[in-house]
Amino acid sequence: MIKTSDIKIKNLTFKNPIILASGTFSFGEKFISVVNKVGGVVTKGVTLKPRKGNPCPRIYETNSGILNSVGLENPGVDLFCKEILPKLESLKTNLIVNIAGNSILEYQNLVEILQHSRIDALEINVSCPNIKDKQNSHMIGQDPKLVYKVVSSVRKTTKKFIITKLTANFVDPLLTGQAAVDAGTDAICLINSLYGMAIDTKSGKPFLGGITGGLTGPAIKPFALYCVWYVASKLNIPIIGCGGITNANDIKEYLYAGSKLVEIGSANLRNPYAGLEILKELRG
Amino acid sequence: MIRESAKIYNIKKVTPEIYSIWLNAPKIAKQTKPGQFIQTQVSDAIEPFLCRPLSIADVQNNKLRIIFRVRGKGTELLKEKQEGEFLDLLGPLGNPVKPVKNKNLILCAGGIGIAPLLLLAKNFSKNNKLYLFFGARNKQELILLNEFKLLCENIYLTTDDGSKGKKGLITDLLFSSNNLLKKAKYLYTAGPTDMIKKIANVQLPIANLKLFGFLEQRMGCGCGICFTCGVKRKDDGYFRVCTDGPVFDLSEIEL
Repeated sequence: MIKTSDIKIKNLTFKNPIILASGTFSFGEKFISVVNKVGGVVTKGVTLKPRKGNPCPRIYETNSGILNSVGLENPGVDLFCKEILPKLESLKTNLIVNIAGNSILEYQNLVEILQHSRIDALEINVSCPNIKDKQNSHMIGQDPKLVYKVVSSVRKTTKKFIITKLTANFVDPLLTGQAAVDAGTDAICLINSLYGMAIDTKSGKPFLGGITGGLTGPAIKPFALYCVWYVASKLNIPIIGCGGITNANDIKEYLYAGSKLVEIGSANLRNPYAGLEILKELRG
Repeated sequence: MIRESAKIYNIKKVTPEIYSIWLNAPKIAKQTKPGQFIQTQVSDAIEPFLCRPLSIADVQNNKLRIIFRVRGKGTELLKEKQEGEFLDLLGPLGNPVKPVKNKNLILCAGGIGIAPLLLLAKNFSKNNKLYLFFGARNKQELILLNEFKLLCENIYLTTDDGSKGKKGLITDLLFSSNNLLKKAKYLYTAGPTDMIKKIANVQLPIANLKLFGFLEQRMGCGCGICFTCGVKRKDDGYFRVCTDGPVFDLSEIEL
């Protein structure tokens, strides 16, 4: 049987399985009426230093999905704590802060700064496809050893609930999932966006300012669902399913595939009230 | 900001490529001010996935009007809608243009950019003197002239093919109108990015003239939660077109 209310994982209770996914709901400070009704909200990725983000255009609509190349635009962790976190104090749901670093030390520093009691959980982002630079042509999430190192350093630094958000881009998520579990993660989230790109055939050049992007939305749902099912059958860890959810039936599919919770992402861009509407549909 | 299911009151083909739709959306209409836009869900199916950001061209009582050029699969679907059908909207979005009084104002439109300037003209004509510069592909696409004639002191027209007004670019006509440029306080421009860029970068003896551009950018949410619709700031980083704009002081951005 699938459970759709009061889902308890370790010290946290989620009133329903819906979490608003990182990158698709600002930092959780907008549409509070939606945020308060769902099981949780994940902030935009927060980095140690401010990031301006990628050049525009940053979004391209594909068949049944979206390519994005925002590039983790955020004010940096200090401004986040000073200016945004106070607005989140009174949220009546789980506040999950998504953290993205370039090195183990950066993740550790981020976690040290984010010890604030209002933060219910940290989502370790080792899987954003839009922040490759010259030093890091690969994502941390593509290397199980690095995943282990990052997650265990976060684990040593905080007692907070940890979610590791994994990628399925050119890597077996079972290997990185196992590494995250070995390092002490409390849950894993599958999957982050898939590599993708679009080319403007008039100019012959990539359409996105960041050249490549991350594909999300209904276009990736069957693959994301497969990833959840595949990993859930082999690892004993709570899984948050993510990818292309637009209705209650999609959520049920993820829950039957073995996830305990789900993240809704692209659907929020189509309709910021999607979380509420899907919840209503789920409740029947 | 309101999500409202709006009944299509009237849909009209203005030219083979341009359509006008009046929507019955009392809650959004009541709050709408010049410069604002709506997100329009063109299909109940998930394809196309995203809403289409469309500027609000006019408001009357409980109704609002959108005028758009058919350019892709979203607007293709939109033009096929029938009167009586419903469209899910989110709006009004973006910041209103700051009201001004007792000034000479220049409006400069390229093509379908004329749409948002109509609501601006309707609101600003009572307390200001308006001068419209409007360039389009041909005579047929010089739309809304009857409305603007009632609101403007003078109208200056160009067409690409010379079928009406002066043949050539509207920016050339604008830049040669020295007297008007000198006496005007604000210029509002909407249309192709290249045109707005030209106006932003022009060197004219118009130090007193403040330039405002109605910008378009590929957009996700329209309401400030996805951070995809950026426009480069002159100082550093990006503005968001949806929540910082869509109308910008052209001296603050880099196109």
